[in-house]
Order: sequence, then structure tokens, then C-alpha cells
Amino acid sequence: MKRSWRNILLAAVLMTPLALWAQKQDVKQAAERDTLTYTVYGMDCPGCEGGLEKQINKIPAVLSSEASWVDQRLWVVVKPDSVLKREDVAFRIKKANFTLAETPDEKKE
Amino acid sequence: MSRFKVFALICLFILPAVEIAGQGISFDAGITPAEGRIMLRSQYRHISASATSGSITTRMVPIVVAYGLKPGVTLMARNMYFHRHFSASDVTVKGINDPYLLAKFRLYRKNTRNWVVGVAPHVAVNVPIGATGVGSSTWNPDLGVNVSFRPRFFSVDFSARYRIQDITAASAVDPPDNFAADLAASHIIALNASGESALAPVVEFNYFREVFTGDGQAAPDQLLMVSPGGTFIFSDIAFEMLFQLPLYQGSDPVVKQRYRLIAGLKYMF
Repeated sequence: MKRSWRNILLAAVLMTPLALWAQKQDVKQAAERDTLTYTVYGMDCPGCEGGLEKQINKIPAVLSSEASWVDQRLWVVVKPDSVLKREDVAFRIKKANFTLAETPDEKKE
Repeated sequence: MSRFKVFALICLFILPAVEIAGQGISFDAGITPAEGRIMLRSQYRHISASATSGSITTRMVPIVVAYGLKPGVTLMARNMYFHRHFSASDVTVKGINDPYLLAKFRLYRKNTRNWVVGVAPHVAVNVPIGATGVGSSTWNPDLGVNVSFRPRFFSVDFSARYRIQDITAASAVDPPDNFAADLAASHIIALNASGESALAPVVEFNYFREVFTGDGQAAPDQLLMVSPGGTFIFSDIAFEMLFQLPLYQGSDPVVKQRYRLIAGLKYMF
């Protein structure tokens, strides 16, 4: 009895990191599946990124976002089973005092 | 007017105006930030000046809170701890200065792939509740404009403002108004691929001039400074440093500026 408890504990200890890793991979793959990329003009320093992300994260369909002032890019992870409208993104970018590039270049990566 | 009264007048009205005016353009210039953005900023300023009777050392610690109320409207409040020592008389004046409130408006902004241009006028006023000998005891509104041109990794910022000293004419003496203009050129260098950290060396030119509105006044004090410095930015935090040296101080200033050192910290969220 004592031995079987020990085995269960050992299995749990070994399996937990594996399960966490697998879960992380799932989340990562899902995020990659549902990530949209936009070109944004107007960011000129690292501090601008936070202001834009704060606005984008207010959109209900957005899970998370990341901006890059160097690349002039915005990556948006959309919530599962949600639809992210371009006009919502444009509205929030405008609230951050930036401009969404005219070309509809958003693409899933 | 006795020599003492002239000196007291200078200390009360002109020195604070000169010191606050020469704060560096990066202090509250630039175009309006994102809506909902909050900026906290603090600096340590060390100002060394000399008069015929000895040296004047001023230390200031301003604290600024700015908030992006709308994409085109930024509100800012500033106050500062003020400490000034006169070596000749061994007199120290210290305390909390007048609160300073500013509203900045986006008049024009254009973002393109290669550059950003912005024009943002502002209105501001102090609230004369500062400590005796530190605050002005008068309402001094000012009007100004910031113009920014930022071609990708470079930036040129120009700021000008006119301050009306004692608009209600509450003071027995009529202090001169003042005009200040600042020009800054900077190059921002990303320190890693993501651009999360960056370094921005800057050079500024800061100009201040008194404007007498009454009759029979003396030649106005003027001050032109060159200010090399830089900013290290890591994500939402920025460390700033500016060293200011006078280039021109008018023909015969009563108080001669030696140098100024400004070190600051900015946090945005």
C-alpha cells in the first residue's frame, strides 16, 4: 500500500511538468493560430507600445496584444470563438494616437 | 529702489521663472499620449548660479502626473520641492512651490510610415498656494505650443511659451512676463531586436527672456543654454539626464547661471 502511494506520487511529480509543457504548447499553438498582425504608424519609442496595448486589450474579442515600435507592428491574439473586427482595432489605434496602415495587411501567422 | 529690494524682487519672481523655464524641453513637451495613459515623473535638479555677493544653489524635486483624458487632450499637474541657499547671507529658502496645472490639446497630428508630425498647444496656470518665499503668491497663466517632427528614429521638438506674471496685478511691484523657447534634437537607438530598451542621446537649446510690460524698466534678463543629455528607456520606464550650460546671459545679468544638472525618472502605465 505504502509502495503504491509512492509510485503515484512519483508519477504525479514526473507527469506534472509534462502536462504543464503540453498545456503551454497548446496555448502557444492556439495563440499562433489566432494571432493577427497589423501595421501601425506613429510609434516612436518603447513607451508608445504600452499605450497601444492598453487600448487594444480593451476590445472584448482580444485575449492579449503586443506592439513593436521598431517594426511598426501590432500582434493581437484573439479569444477562441471570437471575431475581431478591423474597425474595432482601427478605433482603438486611433485612441492611442496612432494610425492603422491603409493596406489590409492583417494576416494570421 | 534699493539694492536689497532689487535682489529680493529677482529672487521672488525672476529666479524661479528662469529656473522653471530652463527645465529641458523633454519635461512636458511632445505630442499628446494615448487615451487612458498615466505618466508619473520626477526629477532632481541642481542649479548653480552666482551673484556679486556670493553663490546661489537651488535644488528642486518636481513631481508630475499626466493623464491622457482623450487622444487629443492631456492633463498635467506638477508640484515641486524647492530648496535655495544664498552663500553670502547663509540664508536658505525652502518649501513646496505652487502647484502647476496644464492642459495640452492635439491641434494636428499626422502619422506616416516614415515620420510623425504633431502640433499641440497648451494652457497652464499655477495655483499660488506655495510656501512663502518659494511660491509666487500670484496667478501666472501661460500659453504655449509644442511642435514635434519625428522621422522614424530621430526627433526634433520645438516648444515655446509666454507666461503672464501676476495677471491679477495683486503684487505691489509689476513683475516682468517671460518668454521661453526650447529646441531639442534626439536620436533613438534600439538596444535589442524587440526595441524594448532604447537609448536616446539628446541635445537641447533652451532660451528664456523677460518681457517688461510697464514703463522705465531695466534691460531684460536673457538666458540661452545648450543642454546635452540622454534618456535610457526600458519598456514603460525612462531614466533621463540633462546637463545645461549657459551660452549667453545678456549684457550684465545680476545673477549669473553656472550650470544645471537634471536627472529624472519617468514611469508610464
